[in-house]
Amino acid sequence: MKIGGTPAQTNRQQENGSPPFAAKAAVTSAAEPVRTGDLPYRRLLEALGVAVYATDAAGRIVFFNDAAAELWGRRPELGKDEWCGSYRILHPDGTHMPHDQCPMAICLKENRAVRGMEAIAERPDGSHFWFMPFPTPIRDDAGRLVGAINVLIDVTDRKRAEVDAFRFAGIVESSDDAIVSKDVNGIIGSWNPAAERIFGYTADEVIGRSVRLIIPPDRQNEEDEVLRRIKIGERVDHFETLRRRKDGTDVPISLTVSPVKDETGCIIGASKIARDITVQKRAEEALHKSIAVKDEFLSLVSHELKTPIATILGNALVLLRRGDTLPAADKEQALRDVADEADKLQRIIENLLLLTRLDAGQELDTEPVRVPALVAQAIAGFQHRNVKRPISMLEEGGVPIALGQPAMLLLVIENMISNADKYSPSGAPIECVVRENSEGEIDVSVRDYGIGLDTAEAEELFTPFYRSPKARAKAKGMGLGLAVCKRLVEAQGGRIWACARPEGGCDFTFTLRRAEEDWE
Amino acid sequence: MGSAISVQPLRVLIIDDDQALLRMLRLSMLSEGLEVATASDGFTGLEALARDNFDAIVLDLQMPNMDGRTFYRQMLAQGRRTPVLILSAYGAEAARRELRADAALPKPFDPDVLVETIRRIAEPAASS
Repeated sequence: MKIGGTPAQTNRQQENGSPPFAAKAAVTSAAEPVRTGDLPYRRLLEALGVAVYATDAAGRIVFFNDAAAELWGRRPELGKDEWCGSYRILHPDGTHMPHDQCPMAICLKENRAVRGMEAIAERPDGSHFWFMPFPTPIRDDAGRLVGAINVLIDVTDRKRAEVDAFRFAGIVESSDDAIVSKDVNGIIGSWNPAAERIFGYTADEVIGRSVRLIIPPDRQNEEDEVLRRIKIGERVDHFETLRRRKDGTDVPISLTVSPVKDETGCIIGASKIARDITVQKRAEEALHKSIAVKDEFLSLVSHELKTPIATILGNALVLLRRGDTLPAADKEQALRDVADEADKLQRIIENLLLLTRLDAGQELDTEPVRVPALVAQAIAGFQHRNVKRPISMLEEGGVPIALGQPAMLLLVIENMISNADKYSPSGAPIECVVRENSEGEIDVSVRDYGIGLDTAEAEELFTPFYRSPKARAKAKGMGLGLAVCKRLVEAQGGRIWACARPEGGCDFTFTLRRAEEDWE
Repeated sequence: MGSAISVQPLRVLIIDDDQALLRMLRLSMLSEGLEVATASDGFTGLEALARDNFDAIVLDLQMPNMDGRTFYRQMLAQGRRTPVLILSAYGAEAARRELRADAALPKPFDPDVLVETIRRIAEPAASS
C-alpha cells in the first residue's frame, strides 16, 4: 500500500517535516473539517486489526491506531512522542534499546525500510511482548522523506512456542528415557539419543521405519493394541514389556504411549516414552529371590535342627519315664538314636559355622597329608553309622602326598559320602577313588549310583542352601554339605566339581595340590 | 474319657520320613498303649490308609515324594476324614489353620503331650 500526502499538504509538511498524511486529521478535533483526501486511508488503518503508526520525518508520532495503542498498553502523545509509542524497548537479548535506535528511528535516519528485526517492548504495567516491526519511509512525489509508517506484528505467541519447543527439544535430547514419535501407522518420526542407547539403532537407521522393528516377534500384537488405543485417543500408561535391541537381546521397558493431535484435534500419531527398567527388574528379582531364600532357609534350618532335637528329647523323656518297662532292644535303639541325632546336629552346626567363618577366598594352613588314609578313616566312620550301605575305596597306583588340612579334608570326604548316601537308593554302592591325575595333583572322587544331576545345575550344587529339584523330591537336607566342601577345598588350594555319568549316578571329585618331593 | 487301658486301643498312623523320629514316636505311643503303623512319605501313607482304618494320623509336612500337605488334600479327596495331627518344625500351627487339620504340634515336643493330643482328636471319632 502506497500512502502519500496530497499536494495541498505537502508544502506544510515539508516546512515542518511533519505528517505525511493523516496527522492533521488525527490531531484535529472532530469539529475541524477534514480537508484531505486521505480520510479513507486513515479509516482503513484505524480499522485494521494490526498495530500501525506513522511519524513525521523527525520521528514524531503523528498517527496510531487502536491496535497499536492496545499493543503498547498506552496512547502516545501525538506530535510529541518520538520513534515508537511503546513505553520501553529491549533487544532480543533483553538489553535496553534507546528509542532513537529503534527500527523506526533507523528507518527514518537512514531513509530505508527496515526488515527482519525483532524486538521486545515493555508496557507501562511491566508486561512484555515480542514484535516484528516493518518501518517503511514515506516519500513525497519528489522523493523526499516526509515520514514513515510502521506495522508492528505481535510475535509473542510464536516466540513462546519457539522457546517451549527449544526447551522441549533440550529435554528430549537429554532424557534418559527413549522418546520416540510415530504416526498412526507406527512409522517412526523421531528418535532421541536415549532411544539410540537403549535400542542400539541410530535415528538414521529407524526414522521412516515401523516401530515393529524393536518389538519381539511374540509381542507384535502389543503394537496392534497400542495403535488401536491411540487411534481412539487413549493413552497407554507404564506398560511393562520387552523390546528387542539391534543386537538381538531383549530389554525390559516401561512404556507410556500418548496420542499426538494436530491443532484441529485430529490424532496424527503417538509419542512414546520407554524407560529401561533392567536395573529395576534385576533388583526386584533379587529381592524376591532373597525373600524366598530366607523363607526356605528358616524352614530348612528349623526342620534340620529341630527334627534331631525332637528325637533326642522324645527318646530321653520316654526312657526317663518308662525306661524300666521297655524291652532292652527298644531302649538300646532309643539310646543309639539319641547319640546319632546328636552327632547329626553337631555336623550341621559345624558346617554352618564353617560356612560363616570361611569367607570365600580365605586360605587354610596346609600340611602334607596322606589322602588314602583320610578316605579310609571317613569310610570307616560312615560304615559304623550306616551298616547297610556298601562302600569301598580304590587307590589307583601310588598316590603322592597332598597338601591339605587333615581335619578339614576329613570333613569334606564325610560330607561327600553323606551326600552320595542321601541320594542313592538303598543298597546301591558308593565308591571312593583316590589317584594322581595327569597334572600330578591328587584326585578324590566319590562315585554314586543315585539320582544323577542335570549338567545345568552342576555349578549350583555348590551354592549354600541350593537344593536341586530332584534332590528336594528325594531327601531332606539343607544344601550345606557341598557348599562347605567347596569352600574347604578351595581354602586348601584345590578345586571341586560334579559330573553326571551317562549310565546314571554322579562323580563328585576334588583335587588337591601335591606336596613338595621332600615329603614323599 | 480314654486311657491307656481302653478296650479297643487307638490305632495311629505316623507319616514321617525321618526314621529315627519315627522310631521314637512309635516307642512313645506303644508305651502308652496305642497301636501304631508307620509310613515314610505321603504315598505310602495313602497306601496304609487304603489298607487299614485309623483313629488318628500324625503327619509331618516336609517329606520327599509326597509331602504332608499333598497327602492331606488327597486323603480328603478320597472322602476320608481321619483326624490329623500335624507335626512340624516350622509353621505347624499355620499349616493346621491352612489345612483345617485337627491339631498341630511344633517339633520338638513332649511325647506325653503328643499322646494326649492324639487321644483328644481321636476319641470322638473312635467312640462314634
